[in-house]
Amino acid sequence: MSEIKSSQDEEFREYVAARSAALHRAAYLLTGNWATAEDLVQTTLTKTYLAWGRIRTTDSVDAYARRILYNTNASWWRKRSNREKPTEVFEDRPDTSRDFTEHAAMRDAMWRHIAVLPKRQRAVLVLRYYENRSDPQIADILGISVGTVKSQASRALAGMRKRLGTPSAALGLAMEPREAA
Amino acid sequence: MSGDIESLLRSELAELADAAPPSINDPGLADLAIAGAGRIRRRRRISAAASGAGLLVLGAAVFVWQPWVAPDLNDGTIAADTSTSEAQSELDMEFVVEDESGVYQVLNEDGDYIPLGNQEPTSVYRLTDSYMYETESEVSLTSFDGTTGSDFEKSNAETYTKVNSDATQIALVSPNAEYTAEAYRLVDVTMTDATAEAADAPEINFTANYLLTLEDWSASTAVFTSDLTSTTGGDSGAYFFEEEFNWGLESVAAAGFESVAVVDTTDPNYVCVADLDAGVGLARAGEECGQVDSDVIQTELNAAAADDSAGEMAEAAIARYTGSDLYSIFGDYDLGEYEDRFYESGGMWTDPLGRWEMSGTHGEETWLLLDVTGEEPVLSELTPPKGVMMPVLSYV
Repeated sequence: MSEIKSSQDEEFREYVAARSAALHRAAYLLTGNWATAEDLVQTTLTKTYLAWGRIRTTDSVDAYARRILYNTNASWWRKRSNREKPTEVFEDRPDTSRDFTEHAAMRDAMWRHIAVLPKRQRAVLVLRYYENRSDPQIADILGISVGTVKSQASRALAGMRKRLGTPSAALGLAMEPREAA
Repeated sequence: MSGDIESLLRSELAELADAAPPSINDPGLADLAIAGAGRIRRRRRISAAASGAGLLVLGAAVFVWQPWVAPDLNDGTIAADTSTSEAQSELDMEFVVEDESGVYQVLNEDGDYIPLGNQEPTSVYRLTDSYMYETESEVSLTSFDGTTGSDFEKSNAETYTKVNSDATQIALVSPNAEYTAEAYRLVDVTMTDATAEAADAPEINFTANYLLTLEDWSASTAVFTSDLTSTTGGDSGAYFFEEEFNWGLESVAAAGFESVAVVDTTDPNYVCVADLDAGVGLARAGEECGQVDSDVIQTELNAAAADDSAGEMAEAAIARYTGSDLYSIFGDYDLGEYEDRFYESGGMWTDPLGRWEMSGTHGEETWLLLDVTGEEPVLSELTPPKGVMMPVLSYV
């Protein structure tokens, strides 16, 4: 093995050590179970290594890896959608000690909704509400326009609100038609 | 309107992610990836040597790939046979290239080079009368012959652009730090006089709620999308979004618009219409909401703006939004063994008019081009011009 390749491999190992946990967390939120998340991260890292010689000196290694993560997940879903239902159930959920309160019921309904969201909408939600990325950053990672990011998020939130029994109504935010002044 | 759900999402996603098992820090991950990459490289070399056969049918989605890819008889490797000139002539395609002195130029359909500038572009668009050249910090307009132009500085790093469907105006959209509102700066990009610079044209400025997304606009009408039905339940009638959710319609009216149509993101056939008094404010309080084909909404759309553009623009926005956005068009194709390469290139571009999608990396000899203009979608390897950065995205 050449010294250059050995050095590049070592850099890659350092990158993986530093970032794999974050990639796993995002992958889990995208896929809904740890086994698939681990497969997704392993595939992402393999593909990242294939491009390592080209991207290792840039500032965008992590952005590149994330783009692979999100697009690979969407690609897997497309390939499997003809024979598998995209209804992963979130496993290993924490917090079993809580009572089945109205909040817990709403949370369960939220996860059921997220589990069946189109992959692109789910990716936008994870990037926006877990990774706290701005809409232009999400657009860059997913390769779509900012307007599409906003519309995808809006669709996901609208559907979720419907599924949760219009919590806006529960919180007093819904309006009834009324006579214009 | 959406803070309740958003707060729940933030807290639940964080809580769930924090429950990651300790095994995810496995030190063998990197070595597994390195070994996997080696296997893929070996497989690709074998595959490249074996391919070049005739018609190829890909995957369950079954589209026929008439391979513009053919074996090169001289050295046995894959040779791309969609040339730059074929892309220029058959798809009216133009490319952004960087010359040896670091100047970015458009290589147009005629093979002429039009200089744009020295700053690396994030995107270049073809509009009615000019190229729009966007960098991290500014937006520039350059006439098709490269002789005139003007620059517009972006307000902040988050500023993005929109182009109206006539490709006569662009919007520089800048969200505020809290992501509660967006400032819109509309610029006329028509260059009817070759010596006139677009910078001399009057600008239109307004600020709207972040929940609204500008989709299209004319001189009289602005069409937005937003979540309506979670508030209205899809019921027809008069609502008061401006009053209760501070949509920013007063600002839109002050900018000179006569009407606003807001298309619902859940049910795009559900629309709210606001009648504005151009240059002043609201023509009346409240917005009329309902199905777009209802008599009430049709009357509102036709009456709100003097030039009757509101109805047509709203219907065009609905058509674009009803399951036909560009991602849906291209996302359904199974690209077979080329799928990974297609989605993992350094750049991916979609024709605004929905004719093609392309992916590639600066410096690579061939890019991938998905052409959907024919009866069957066709994927081919494209040999881009020397120094290529990206295709020009055309709105006309």
